[in-house]
Amino acid sequence: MTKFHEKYKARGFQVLAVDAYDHETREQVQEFARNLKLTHPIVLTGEKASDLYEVQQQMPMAFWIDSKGTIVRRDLGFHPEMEKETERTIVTLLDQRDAEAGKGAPRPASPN
Amino acid sequence: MHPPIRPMPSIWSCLLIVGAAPLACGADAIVPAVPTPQAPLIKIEEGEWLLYKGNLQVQQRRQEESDSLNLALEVAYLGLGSHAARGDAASVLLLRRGESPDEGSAAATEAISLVADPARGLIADLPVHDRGLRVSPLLFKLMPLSIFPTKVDSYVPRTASAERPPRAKTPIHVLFPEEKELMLTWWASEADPETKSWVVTVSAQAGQNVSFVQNRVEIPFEISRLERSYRLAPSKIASRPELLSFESRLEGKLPGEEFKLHVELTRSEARRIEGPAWKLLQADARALQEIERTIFEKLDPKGARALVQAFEKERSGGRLARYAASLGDQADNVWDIVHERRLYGKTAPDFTLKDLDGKDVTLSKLLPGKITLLSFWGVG
Repeated sequence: MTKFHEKYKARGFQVLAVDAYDHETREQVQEFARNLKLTHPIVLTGEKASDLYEVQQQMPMAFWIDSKGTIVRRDLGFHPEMEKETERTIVTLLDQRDAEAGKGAPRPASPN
Repeated sequence: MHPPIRPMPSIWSCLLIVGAAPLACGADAIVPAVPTPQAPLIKIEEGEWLLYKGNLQVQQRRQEESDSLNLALEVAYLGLGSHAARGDAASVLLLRRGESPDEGSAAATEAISLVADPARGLIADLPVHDRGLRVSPLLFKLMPLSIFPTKVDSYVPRTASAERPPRAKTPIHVLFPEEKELMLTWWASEADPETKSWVVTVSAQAGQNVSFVQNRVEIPFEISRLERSYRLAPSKIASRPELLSFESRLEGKLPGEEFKLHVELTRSEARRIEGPAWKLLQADARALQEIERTIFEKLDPKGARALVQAFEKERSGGRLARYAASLGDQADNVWDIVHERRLYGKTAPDFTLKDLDGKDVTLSKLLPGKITLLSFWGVG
């Protein structure tokens, strides 16, 4: 996710990670982020937030939110095979946003 | 040795329908020679309960591959009458339980609500395909929805051993649920003069071609043999002969390979239960149907879980407890559907949390104009 966060942040894509376990300490999460070289924002003590999204301990779970703040998709789990699909979704949503904002014709939904 | 039930290549799964088709779709599969009365053969009235015990054997071979399945089968039809307004007969709950004699290497318990349809016999009340996939695709197709060939009264032999000439092309469910037309012959012969049982055989002429579509690709299949036989015994009710055994053989060619399938279903016991035992079973069945409705119609997995727990507590170790437990698992599957419906298209719930630097991060302030992937995880 960090890879895509960096690749598309200039176009307006962002990742926000929520550590959904209140008992996990800042140090634990920092070490985890350091080891995996995560550069996107991470927030802590997200149990109540995960309740709002009805995550129900099914993690990792990700929600796609469009530029108007609407949930448009949900992904459960993450596998290497999902990487292409994830990037395609990013590009598609960015293109749709740009088209709606009148920023010209949407770019082709090519991840490359 | 009987191999455990396992997922099979999709083409196999489709072909296996052949064996189950005369049972699952029986009424339509074999078109009667004479006009049939509207009533299906088995019309389970409200308050009736019918138990069938038998063995199901399936052998299949494709090229050098072979596979077999052998189950001790128990099928219970429970006439509940909850949908009587929808047809001229009561609805039933069909419970199917199969176990391999090979140290339980294969076992399954399934159930489905059926409604008696005047034209088609027993049909599923809930979406079969969907539920079949959720439960056990293989077993769902192998285990009969209706063990009795409905409209079988039209096969009563008027002249023993009288073979009928080939009929005109007749619609039949051959390989797949969609209807095909095949040239059929059927005849009846007396099998056992003492018990007055008789055998009805339906045979398709060899060399006929059918095809099926899988993943939008049309696959031809040439039938070299398709034969189904039913051994039937007279029952107290003349229009309800009892099925003693069923056998189906299909042989043919798929592109580049031979295919053989043999299905046998043998009845060892069939009986009705009345009185207190029936009332208890009826109560259980109604409770299970309520659980099913809570899962599949109300899409309420939490409610279903609660009902399942209550059921298991009250009927611990009972006949239907295992099925109730499996319903609980299905409730979990429904959770995804519920979750999606509840959240999709809605404004993302807001929250404010501290980031790794101790600064407040408010989601709603980040969102405008951006595409956001909000990811929940843990490091543990």
